Amino acid sequence: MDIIACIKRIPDTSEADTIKIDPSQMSIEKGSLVFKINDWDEYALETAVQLKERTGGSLIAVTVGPKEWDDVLRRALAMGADRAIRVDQDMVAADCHSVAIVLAALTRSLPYDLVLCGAQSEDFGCGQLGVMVAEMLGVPHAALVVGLQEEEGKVRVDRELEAGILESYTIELPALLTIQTGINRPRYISLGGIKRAMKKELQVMSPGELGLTAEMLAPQVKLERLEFPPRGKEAVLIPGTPEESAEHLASILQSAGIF
Amino acid sequence: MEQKKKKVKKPLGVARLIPGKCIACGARCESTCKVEAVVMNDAGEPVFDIEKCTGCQRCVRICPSDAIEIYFTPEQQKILDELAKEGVAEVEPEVEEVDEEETRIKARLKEYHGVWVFVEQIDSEAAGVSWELLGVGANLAKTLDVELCTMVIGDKVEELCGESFAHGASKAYLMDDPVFHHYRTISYTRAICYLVGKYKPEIVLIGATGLGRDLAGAVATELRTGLTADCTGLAIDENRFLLQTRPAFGGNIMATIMTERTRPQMASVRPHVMPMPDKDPSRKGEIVREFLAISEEDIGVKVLEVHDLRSDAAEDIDIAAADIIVAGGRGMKSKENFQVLQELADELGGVVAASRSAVEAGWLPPERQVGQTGKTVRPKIYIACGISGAIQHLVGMQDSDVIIAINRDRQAPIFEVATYGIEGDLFQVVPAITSHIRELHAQKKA
Repeated sequence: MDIIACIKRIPDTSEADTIKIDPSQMSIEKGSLVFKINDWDEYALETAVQLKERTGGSLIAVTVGPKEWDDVLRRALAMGADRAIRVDQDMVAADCHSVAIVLAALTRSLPYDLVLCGAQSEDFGCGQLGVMVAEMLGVPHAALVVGLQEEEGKVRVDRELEAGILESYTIELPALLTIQTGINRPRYISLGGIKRAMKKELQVMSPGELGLTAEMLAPQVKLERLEFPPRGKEAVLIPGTPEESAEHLASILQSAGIF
Repeated sequence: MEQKKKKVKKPLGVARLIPGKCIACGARCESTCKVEAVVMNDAGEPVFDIEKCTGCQRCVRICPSDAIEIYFTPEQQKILDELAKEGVAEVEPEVEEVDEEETRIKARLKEYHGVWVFVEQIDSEAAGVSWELLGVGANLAKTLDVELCTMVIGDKVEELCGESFAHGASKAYLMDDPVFHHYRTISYTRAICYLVGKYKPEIVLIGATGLGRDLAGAVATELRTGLTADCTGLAIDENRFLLQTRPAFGGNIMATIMTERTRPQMASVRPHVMPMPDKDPSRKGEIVREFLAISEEDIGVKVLEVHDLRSDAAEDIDIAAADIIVAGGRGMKSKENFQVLQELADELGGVVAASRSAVEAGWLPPERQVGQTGKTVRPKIYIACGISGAIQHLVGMQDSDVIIAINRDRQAPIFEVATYGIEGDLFQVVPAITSHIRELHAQKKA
């Protein structure tokens, strides 16, 4: 099975107090941030690698971004991708549509049975990219996939609906799936592994080589500004030893008439 | 024949970069320039060719960081000065005609009117988020002074038109056909694109449920228009544009986004983010019936089977209906440790729930998950134990009446939404709470 995995590089903002908005109000200050592969995309890659190991075929990892993004592709190569392609274009934040146009154009130029994306990104988290690429390619898709079983010319997928309900589909290939976290356990990649993967091919293309013009990539949404959310009132901290604070809380609950 | 005095054209100036303001957004100025007067340098900043620049201000307008300004070359300044001397400088007839395309876009945008809400339903039962969207939609429609309408698509769903009116819509576009019995991306996308193409609403709102996300992305792609997912705020700006605000970077930042050049402006909104409007069954409206020739063969071929995987063994506990929830996250460390939470829940008459990471680890079944992909809960008391409070979790529980957070990390975001917080080891704190409550119960009985 020939697979394409679409991945993205994001700033690791889990350390909340390090995020600052730059003066333009259009971007966060990236100077002190560590960048990494988007969480969901790592699960998508692992899914892709496991499928390739079971069924053979090729696995190409792709991304759309500037040169610094090569590091997530190196990681994908270390995980087991055969080759990697970066389309060299700095995309406007929150503009999934243009990224989808690039990924769809790139995918069309490659052999594929299955396209895998992460279900959403950690930075903007729209969760729309995969659906858009599938629409543009004209292939069926399933979003939020938590289980996957390949069959002849088809895949059977379990996907999440709301409230813990799962649905199972059988989908004819070619198809696109967006992968939810927890579907597997992404393998550990050592620095040595990444170094060894340096031998593998990392190709850089321009949008022009895919027949895309600046006009086609004009963003449909415009970021107006970034700002901090209004701060919620902080929790009232109940001090003391575990024993003391527990007693205090129990009396709060009691006076609230809970029991 | 009218004798025209040879007119000196008023110079429009040329564009230049204001140093230090360019954010290297990705060459928007270059792509918008019609005369190729903008070339990007290695730093991703524009270099302007003043010989080519016509002063159309296209780049000035598209620049997200206001880094481009218009100035006059010495030659142009000279002409300006002369014109001023002749007293014609006051008249500025040229500026308007500059941008034909801009005018065309504006005219096109003006063809679109009205605020539309997609009514999501399964087996003719509407998702609550649809009515919530009518609440916020009513405000937008009022500001714009346009109609508020719904799209009701399904099989035997006419009664949802009446419910649309009861929740504030004045018109419902109905597509009632057995082919729409089950949701399929292709059929529903076609239906909506057909309605939007025919009636041209300026705003389309869709609930950001699993179904809604799937549908919104497909429709926006098909219509080639902008979509902003998971909005938490919607407002209208002075130019009648929809300002769409949504969380980014794990909820630490709010981003405001606009759809500038295409219509409709599409936004999805998560359930329980907007307040439910009052329902008034006496309100009436107009039903517009529409039909689209679409057959099972057109859509049925690709998805071969759909079945519910909920195990029959799924416990009969609905966390969404519980008044008291004790929830555990990654900090619980093991499945067995949830017993600690169960004891507290038993003592309070509540139920145990979990964050996504705890469910992923297999500590609790998926139907107990609270959050974006789990359930949204609004209990009287929500006790979060060892849950850091990622945005995906917070959206599922932040409207609880009282939130109590127990966590070792004082910096954890859960403390920002909590009413009360205890910084400490939950394995010490939770059993202590349980035993105190047990004591209080005993006193009450005595």
